[in-house]
Amino acid sequence: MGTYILRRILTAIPTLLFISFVIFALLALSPGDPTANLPPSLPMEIKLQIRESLGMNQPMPVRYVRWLQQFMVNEPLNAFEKATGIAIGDSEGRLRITSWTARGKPVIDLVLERLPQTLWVVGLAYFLSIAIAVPIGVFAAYRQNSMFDQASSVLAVIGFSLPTFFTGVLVIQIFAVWLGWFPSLYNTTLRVTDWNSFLQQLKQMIMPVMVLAFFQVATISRFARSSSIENLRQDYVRTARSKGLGERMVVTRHVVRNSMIPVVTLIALGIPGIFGGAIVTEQIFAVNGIGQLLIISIQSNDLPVVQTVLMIFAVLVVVFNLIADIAYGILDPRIRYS
Amino acid sequence: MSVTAATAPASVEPIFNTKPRGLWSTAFRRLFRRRSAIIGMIILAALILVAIFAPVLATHDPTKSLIGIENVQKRQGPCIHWLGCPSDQPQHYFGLDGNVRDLYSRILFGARLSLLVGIVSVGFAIVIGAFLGAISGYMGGWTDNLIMGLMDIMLAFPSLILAIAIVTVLGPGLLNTLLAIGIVSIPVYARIMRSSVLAIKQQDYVMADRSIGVPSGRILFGNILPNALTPLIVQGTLGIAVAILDAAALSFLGLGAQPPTPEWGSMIGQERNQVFTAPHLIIFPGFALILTVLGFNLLGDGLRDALDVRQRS
Repeated sequence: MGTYILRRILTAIPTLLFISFVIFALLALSPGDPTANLPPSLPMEIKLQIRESLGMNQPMPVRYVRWLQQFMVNEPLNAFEKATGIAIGDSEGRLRITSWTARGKPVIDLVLERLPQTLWVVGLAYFLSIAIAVPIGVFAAYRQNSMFDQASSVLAVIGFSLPTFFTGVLVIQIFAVWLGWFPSLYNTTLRVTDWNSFLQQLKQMIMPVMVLAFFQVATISRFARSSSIENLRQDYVRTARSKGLGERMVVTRHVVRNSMIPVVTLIALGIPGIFGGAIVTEQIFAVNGIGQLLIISIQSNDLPVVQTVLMIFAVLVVVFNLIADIAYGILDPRIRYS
Repeated sequence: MSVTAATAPASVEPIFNTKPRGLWSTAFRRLFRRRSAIIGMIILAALILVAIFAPVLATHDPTKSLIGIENVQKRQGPCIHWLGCPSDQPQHYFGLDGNVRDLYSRILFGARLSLLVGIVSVGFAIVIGAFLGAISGYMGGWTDNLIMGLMDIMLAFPSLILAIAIVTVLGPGLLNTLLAIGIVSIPVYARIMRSSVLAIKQQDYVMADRSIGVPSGRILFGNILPNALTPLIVQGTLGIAVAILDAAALSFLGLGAQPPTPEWGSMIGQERNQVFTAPHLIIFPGFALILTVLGFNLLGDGLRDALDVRQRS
């Protein structure tokens, strides 16, 4: 197992390197330019100087290597220094990836400002959807073809088919405008300092979380159902029953435990997807997360931000793939890695 | 099935009294027995008809503003004469949008775009994905490693995010959206095809072909591909639903179809702040989109059961 994990981590490194190159090269081809947003009256020499100061006159491979160094070495070092207070080398002169539009602010700072909002909304939505979907799936499997099973199947198909940007707009109309339960605009300046502000934060997160969770519940409950059906047919279930074990024990102790193995994998693999969904949700509810940052940067042609945010998404995906693989091996002792 | 024929050795009567049924007719029979699949097919048939006859069914030009032509206001609600709307007012089934265009006509033409994007992008992805997967599975070795490594890297992105990256490079627009979503969907089909080919490759009939010296290309395309089609068809149908949703999401974000193209996602995106004052501008395109996606999902689910494909992820 140990060697397997080590090998998986080692193969993740070239994958990430290749992804980073593709992201950088692709976006370097796009027509964005750091001087595009400056007033046209600015003399050409100054524009050229700006380009030079940003390293734009260098060949693409050089720019890639320097970007990679800033992303993989400089920024982690900065984060380490910030966390521990230990200075390593020349921390002032270290180059950082800077935004083209936000007055040369380091991209990582922009991302870190926004990451908590995204993580809160996405994390809460995911936990909620797992907590709802798994019992639905297991129960639907246990009572296969019952009314409950059929109703949950119909709801799941509808859940797949609802675009989040439509349900989001509807949810705002119903819960914020007609019922007035939740604020219709996300208060981005709210800081959670006490119980009251925490409640407020929770209240404004309910709608985006609801919209994001609905889609996930549909996916996970279907999967939990088919996995449970498969396990309910197994011999060990019959053995457990013939030993005189109560139904509750059979289902919770034996069936659920074994059915969750593939579900855990799906959950780990689904995490990146929910970040994709969050891009749209953040746009609707005006949540100032990294999804919104990505869209703003695309619209203003801020390539360094786009590159870095996409790279962060890629890292997340690779890491969660790794976790899914390792979790699978730990949960299912039948799987042996050589 | 009757076995009486076997007792009469002199005659050469067939053992089967019923006409043998092929894979496809069996599948169709099973498909027509599922309520959800039938509903899906009805929805899709209606949508395809709407898309084909959009110019006939539409009452107005979908991209033309009616300012100064009719006495109407922007974002005016629906006006249908036989539902009580005064007959001196111009009739608009779904009302008017923010640029004073007839929403009903726009939604009809939107059906064309959504079906086009879904079918073309998935078709593109299936052709390329199946080709890559087939070669990968059949050849094995370093070809397999190279192609599947590339596919794994593409799979390492959430489809919407990769599509956003591609559209950023190519620039917004309907054609680029179509291309982006097509590219993003390739790895799924490549993987399915590869695993089918790997399974079929071991079959005796392939071995038989190989032993009599049939060239690889003919074995692969004449023998293996037709037998690997069913999972592709199922995944493709479900994939169209995802492609339509993703394309609409891109347009909603302003990265896909550009105005004045009557695309459902961009129609919702443009008017989303008007949901309080003019809900019809959100509801109608939203329902049109949901209906389309639902149709493909229902049909895909039914096909999966009818063709008995185990879900692969």
